[in-house]
Amino acid sequence: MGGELGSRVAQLLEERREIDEIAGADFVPPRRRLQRSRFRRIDPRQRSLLAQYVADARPTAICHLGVYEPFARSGPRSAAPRTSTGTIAALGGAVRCATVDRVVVRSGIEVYGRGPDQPSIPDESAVPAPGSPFGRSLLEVERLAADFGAGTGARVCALRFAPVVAPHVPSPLGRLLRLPLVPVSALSDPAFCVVHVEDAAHAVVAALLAGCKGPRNVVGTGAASVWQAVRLGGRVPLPIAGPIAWAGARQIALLAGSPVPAHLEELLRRGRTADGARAHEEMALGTMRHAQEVLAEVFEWASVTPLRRAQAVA
Amino acid sequence: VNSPRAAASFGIDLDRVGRLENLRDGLRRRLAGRYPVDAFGADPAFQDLVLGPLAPLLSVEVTGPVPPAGPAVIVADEGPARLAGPALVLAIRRAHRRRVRVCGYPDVVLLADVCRRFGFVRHRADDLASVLRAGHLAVVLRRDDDEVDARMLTPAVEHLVLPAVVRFGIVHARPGISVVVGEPLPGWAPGDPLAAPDLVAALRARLAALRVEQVDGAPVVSLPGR
Repeated sequence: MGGELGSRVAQLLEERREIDEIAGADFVPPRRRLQRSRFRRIDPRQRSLLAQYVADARPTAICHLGVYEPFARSGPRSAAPRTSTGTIAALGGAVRCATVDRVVVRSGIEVYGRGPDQPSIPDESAVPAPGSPFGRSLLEVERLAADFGAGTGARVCALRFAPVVAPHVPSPLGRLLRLPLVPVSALSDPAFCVVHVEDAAHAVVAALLAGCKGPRNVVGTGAASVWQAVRLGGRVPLPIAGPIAWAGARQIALLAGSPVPAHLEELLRRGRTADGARAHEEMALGTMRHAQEVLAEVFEWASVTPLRRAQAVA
Repeated sequence: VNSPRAAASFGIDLDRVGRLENLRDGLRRRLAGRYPVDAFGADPAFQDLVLGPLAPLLSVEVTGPVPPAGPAVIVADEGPARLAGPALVLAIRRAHRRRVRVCGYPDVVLLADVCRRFGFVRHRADDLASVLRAGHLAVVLRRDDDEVDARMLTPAVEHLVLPAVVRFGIVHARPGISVVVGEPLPGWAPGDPLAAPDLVAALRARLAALRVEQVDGAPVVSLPGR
């Protein structure tokens, strides 16, 4: 509940009168103002504390959005343990109280990977074959949640989001695209999908209320290519080819304050798309923001406004 | 890929060819990144920029029922020079103002990316299924005269399937492309496990008949004004 997505989901749930009580936890305080939600600051790696908190809350539904993308809010070493331990703790606490009838977990289309045997635009029937540590971490979350559903009979839905971006959302993709020079593949210009954090939050609430079961892809409308995304922000694409050049580009980007994790490099070199038609129809998601609109918004993030001494105007 | 017109933006439709803009505006739009791209990597603004000036150089004749909108599959022979795919892209664009999605492109660096920009997708059943779900007109090319992969055509059984013969020669007294599209094959009930093999058998017969009708192997000669 501390991140952009979790706090927005909490706000949307607060607006619904049929929801009696909302409780959440995260290792950072909520980024938005919450009115009637209870929040407790717990690092997901504090497994017993988190499990006890969930068990004490006796929830009937769980939104587990505690998936930590490397170099977003967590470093690459802490992201995977936070994700897996947090999932085990949250679902373990739910097992103890045995009151949960539905669960929505956050996953991502990184689970599909971009190998030559994978479909270009996978739908939910495609077999996941993640090609990055983050993709494997997401798939583990899905498996833990599926095991929980099989054991308790709860309806479990894994929402596989396209990269969630928005102006203030910490994301390695958004950060990289804001660099003045952006490394891109010289050999291809693959397409990728994104989803705006607001659309993602609405999808979580819709999935929770609809009681969806199984995985669902949640992608924004349309797609953009990597070169196009760079030019939309007026940045300069820097064509890169070959593993040595990419390794160099990763180091330079790291020094520039925008590390490139493996799943982001995969996106830049092979693209990342998925078919979100099923979720769109079942959950009545309405009009979602177009990829280019979302990317343009990322670039419109206001630059630093210097504070000036007040001037006499009269 | 939420709707057939999901990426229709910047005034350019992903499925239909609209009014062509001038080269200067097109290049300016490209430099600013303001052009639509779909999830397959198709780039209609790029297609218009390249194929727009190229299309009038070739004479094109397309006969038969090509649907003006909605998902459908055209099945044709790839031919020895493997030019049927690009020929169908050009011919249907010119005659019916639709952008087709050809299944299959050479897996060669750079060339594959260019093909994707022109609307080519991989020769895979799941990619064909995605194309049809998005409401596009797909083209599946037979690599061997006697063989159409039933697994490849499984997603097509619930859609309009049209056999076609592509020929090169003199059309309207100019070098060109002639495409004869046959009548649509009968539809099969959803979930019928034998639908794809039946479709393959029907296609084989229909394509053979179409080839005989068009005098197999002879160059197209069509008089001006026909």
